[in-house]
Amino acid sequence: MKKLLVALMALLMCLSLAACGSNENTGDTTGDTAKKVLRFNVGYDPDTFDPQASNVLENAIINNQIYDYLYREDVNGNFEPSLAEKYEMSDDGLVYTFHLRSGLTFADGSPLTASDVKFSWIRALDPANAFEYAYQLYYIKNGAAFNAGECTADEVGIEVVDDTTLVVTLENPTAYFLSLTGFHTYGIVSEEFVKAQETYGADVASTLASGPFKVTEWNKGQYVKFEKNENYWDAANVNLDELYIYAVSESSTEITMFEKDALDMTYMNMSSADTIAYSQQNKLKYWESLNTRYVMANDENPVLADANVRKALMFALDLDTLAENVVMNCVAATGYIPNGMAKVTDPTKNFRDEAYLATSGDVELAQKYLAEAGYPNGEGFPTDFELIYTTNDANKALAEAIVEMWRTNLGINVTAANLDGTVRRDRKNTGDYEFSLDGWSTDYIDPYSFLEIFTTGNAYNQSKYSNPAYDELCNTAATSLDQETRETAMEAAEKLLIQDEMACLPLYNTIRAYLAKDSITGVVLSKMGTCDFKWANID
Amino acid sequence: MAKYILKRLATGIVTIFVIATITFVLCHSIPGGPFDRDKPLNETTIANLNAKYNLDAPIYEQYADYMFDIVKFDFGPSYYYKNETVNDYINRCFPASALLGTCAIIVAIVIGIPAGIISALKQNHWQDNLLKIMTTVLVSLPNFVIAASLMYFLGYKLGWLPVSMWGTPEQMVMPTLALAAYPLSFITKMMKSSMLEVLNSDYVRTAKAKGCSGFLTIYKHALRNAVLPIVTSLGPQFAGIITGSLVVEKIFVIPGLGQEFTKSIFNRDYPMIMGLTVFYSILLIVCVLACDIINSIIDPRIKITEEGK
Repeated sequence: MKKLLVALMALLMCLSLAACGSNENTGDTTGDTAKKVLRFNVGYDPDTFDPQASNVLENAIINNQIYDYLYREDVNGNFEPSLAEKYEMSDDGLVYTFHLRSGLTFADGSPLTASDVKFSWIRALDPANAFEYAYQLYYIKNGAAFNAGECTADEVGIEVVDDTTLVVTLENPTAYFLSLTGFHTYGIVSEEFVKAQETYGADVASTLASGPFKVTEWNKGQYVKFEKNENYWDAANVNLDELYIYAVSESSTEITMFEKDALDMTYMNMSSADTIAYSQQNKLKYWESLNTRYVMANDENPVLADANVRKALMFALDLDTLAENVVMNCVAATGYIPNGMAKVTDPTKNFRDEAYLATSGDVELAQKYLAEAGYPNGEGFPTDFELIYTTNDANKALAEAIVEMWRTNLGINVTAANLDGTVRRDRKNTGDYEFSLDGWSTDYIDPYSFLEIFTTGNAYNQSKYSNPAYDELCNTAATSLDQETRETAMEAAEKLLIQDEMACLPLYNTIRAYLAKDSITGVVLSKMGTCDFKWANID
Repeated sequence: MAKYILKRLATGIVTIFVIATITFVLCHSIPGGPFDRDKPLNETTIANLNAKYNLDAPIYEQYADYMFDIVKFDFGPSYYYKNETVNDYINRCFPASALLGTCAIIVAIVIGIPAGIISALKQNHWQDNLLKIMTTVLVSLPNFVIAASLMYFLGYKLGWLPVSMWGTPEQMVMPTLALAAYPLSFITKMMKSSMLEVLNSDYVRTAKAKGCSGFLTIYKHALRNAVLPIVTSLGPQFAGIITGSLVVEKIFVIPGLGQEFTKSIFNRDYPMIMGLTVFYSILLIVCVLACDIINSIIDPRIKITEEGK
């Protein structure tokens, strides 16, 4: 009897397992073979298809596929005419006249005119919408004032002349304004369609764009499916029939999917083990973007206000060791502006000719600077300083390595303190910190995007660094239209910022390592971190 | 019985009120706000956002609004998800978590209870030893290890199952197993000890002495009493498992609720934190009450009367 009972129980167990695993539906999303389908993962489930509302890089990547802009970044990083055919700029650099292509339409065939462009940009600035990226349009005359509720929409410097002509007046001459029109907040929506929606971009049905693809399915939390937009003005150059962008946020899952041919291209940051394994097999591909990680020092702290202390801390760091053994997939910084940034006068050359930092460190020099600051061998240096960082494994390893180098090379004790991201930001905003592990990436490709955050009063300048000479150079860079003048000013500004003052401690520039099938070509991997599948192809 | 349930529900409401209040206070006392960004927003934008979400109102007013909304089961807009209210979010994500959790609990019960009985009947035999090893391993392995191993072997090496995503029954197998591992071991161990206790009790010995067959003794007399502690423990476990698992959902790409419990805190998404907490509290209270009622039905010794409780 007991045996029977045991057998029965065993049977039950088997049945319960079997009941879970029997169905022939595979959920295969590759479709038929004649179609060109690309499956990319961005690890993020979008929360809107509204280009003006989008405030996360990964969301912008998704929106980039369906929207078009006046100028669009191509494979070489140049902003080429897209919805606009050409433009004229006034001599003072303040007035841009854009000429749109004729016969432009949205994906549903409805016409796209200059008044849709105006509507989109005014919409981005409208304080009632409270869009976080509204500031990207502050370059336009009265843009900031309208966003602050200080003037009406009519006073903003955007004027529709006729269906294909738009005149934009800027607040100040802005040398990189054309590239800004390719930024996601400048994406063009349809006035008529947006006004008919309760919440624009909340789902597939409430979204209408004019880009290379149209969104056709949103399986929330899993993937977004795009199909080629046959009404796109440049549809002849769009090669893919379908595009899937997945929301797999776990790197190991993403890699397994890639290996099982469920993905064609990956995106997530890999673990060190995977990085090493794939780089040994020469399978890693690299995506360079413009960013700099650095240690930010609080300039309001009397100890850290001394440039000698900051220099001592900088030269005590062996950036090569950090880049090769601690961080991986990055290059050691030789200055503040990332290594991949090009000269504004010559895009083929690097912005910075000389290295301001010794990437392997210089301990003797560091000790000399520390002694000059009055702390020989670290004597008398405060012992309660903290290096705050946002909790995650990679940051932890980096922060621990940095404080250890300071301890060994300078004899000073700084504690690496991990904090929840929001707490860390709060402490930075209130000035309640000594060192913070920070970074900056760009929203437009110009060295000024990095330099501006250390100007006096800049919202992102939480180090509270302030130097009138630096501000003056930055002002020239911001408002001059002569690229030679700008370049000279910006070179001088960086030299002042790093070589003379060491306002922040640059560490490295990250490079994204990813996996992709060799058959994929033509994907625009922007240095701003976004990507574009308009010209993508599968050979 | 009806009176008892009403009384329990009334205390439940008070409990939820207290939980909601504590959550509100905690939310607003942790440093940082919902619009802290790596690239800080300018003052104009923050003012615009605060106005949009009524965060510029005095705190007591926000509290009053929030409590009134909760009474209507309206948890308000999420500060993080631009186009979804907290209710939308729960409506969208709870079904996947609930389905997965229910499957996992069913697997755990269907395997765990028989396994526990076998373990008890075959105490110190190889069957018991084998189960002991299995349950100890499963209970001590974190579920991300189980999930990753399942994915590696069943999905990657053998290719029997799709490695991830959600929607088909096949895609449910691995997450269900990963999620069932812990409650399964727990139920097996509990069932075993509870069964052993009952088997050694006087009334079972009497039943055996009276000549009842082994099967009948176990099924009719022992099992009913032995299963009681498991029913009690299932309430909170069920509420926990159907609200999702951070790790399993992330690894298998399941559009469930689990990830949001932690994510909402990092994002300082106050309405989401409070909404999920209240939602979870309601589930927990209902599940515990349901278990008590089931217990009273199974166990003849428990009688719910006004005097008794």
